Amino acid sequence: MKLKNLIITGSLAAFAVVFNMFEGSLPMPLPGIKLGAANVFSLLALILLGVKEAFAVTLIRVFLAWIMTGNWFALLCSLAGGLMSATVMSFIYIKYRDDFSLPWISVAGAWAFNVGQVSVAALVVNDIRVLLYIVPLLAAGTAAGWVVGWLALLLCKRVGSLTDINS
Amino acid sequence: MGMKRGDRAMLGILMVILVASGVVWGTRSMTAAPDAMTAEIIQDGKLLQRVSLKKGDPAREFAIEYKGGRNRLKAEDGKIAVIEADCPDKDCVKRGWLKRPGDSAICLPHRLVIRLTGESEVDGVTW
Repeated sequence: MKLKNLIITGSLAAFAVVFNMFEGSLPMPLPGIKLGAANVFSLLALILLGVKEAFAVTLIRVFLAWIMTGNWFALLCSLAGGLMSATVMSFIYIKYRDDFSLPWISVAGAWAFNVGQVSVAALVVNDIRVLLYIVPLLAAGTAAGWVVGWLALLLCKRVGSLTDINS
Repeated sequence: MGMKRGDRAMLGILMVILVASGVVWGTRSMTAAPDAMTAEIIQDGKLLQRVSLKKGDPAREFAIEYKGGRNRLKAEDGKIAVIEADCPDKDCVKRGWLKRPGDSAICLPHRLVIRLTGESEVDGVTW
C-alpha cells in the first residue's frame, strides 16, 4: 500500500469512527436500525482506492467502536454485517459496476449487513425464528443504504479529483 | 439519476418481500388479539417457562437470571413486557409491551427471547 493510500485510508477510517459514534447517540425506532453513515467512508475507500482499503476502513471502524463502547454483541453484529457488506459491495463494484448505480450498490451492502447482523442475533439466542426480524431491517436498510450511497456519490465527485493528482 | 438494470432488479425483489410481509402484517394487526395467550420464555434456545396471559389479569412481576445478568418482566391484562434489564443496550426494555401472537422481545446479552403464542395453556405457569 502506498503511503498516500495509507494516509487516505486512515483518514476515511477516522471519519467513519466519528460518524459511527455520533450515530450511536441518536434514538432509533427499532433495535438494530441505524443510518450507517460510516459506510459512506467504506464506499469512498472502495471507489477511490480499492477493495483492500474498503475492508480496512470497515474493520478499523468496527474494532475502534468496540473499544470505545465495550459492547460485545454490537461488535459481533457489526463485524458479521460489516464483512458481509464490504464483500457484497466490492463484488458488485468490481464485477457488475455497469449494471448498478452507487446508491443501489450501497443498498446491496446494507442488505448484506442486515443479513449478517440478524444471523448473529439468531445464533446468539439460538433461535431460528429471530431471522424473521430481517423484514423490518431490510425496509429500513434500503432507505438508509440509498441515502448513504447518494452521499458517497456526492463526496466522491468532490474529493475524487484529489486522488487523481499524483496517483 | 436513472436506474440501471441491477437497480431495478433489486427494487423488484424488495417490493415482493415488502408486499408479502405487508399482507401478513396487515392481516395480523386486523385480527383482534385473543383473550388468552401464552408467553414463552426461551433462554439459550431452551424453553424456560410458559406464562399464561389473560385479559383482565392483575399485574405480576418476576425476574429471569442469567449468569449474573437479570431481566425483570411484568405481565398484566393479557400482555407482557421486560421492564428492567442490567445489560448495556436495554433493547428488550425499549421493545415495550408484547400484545399479539408472534410478538417477541430479545435480549442478546442474556440470550433471552420472549415470544407470544396464540394458544392458551390450561396448565400454564401462573404467578
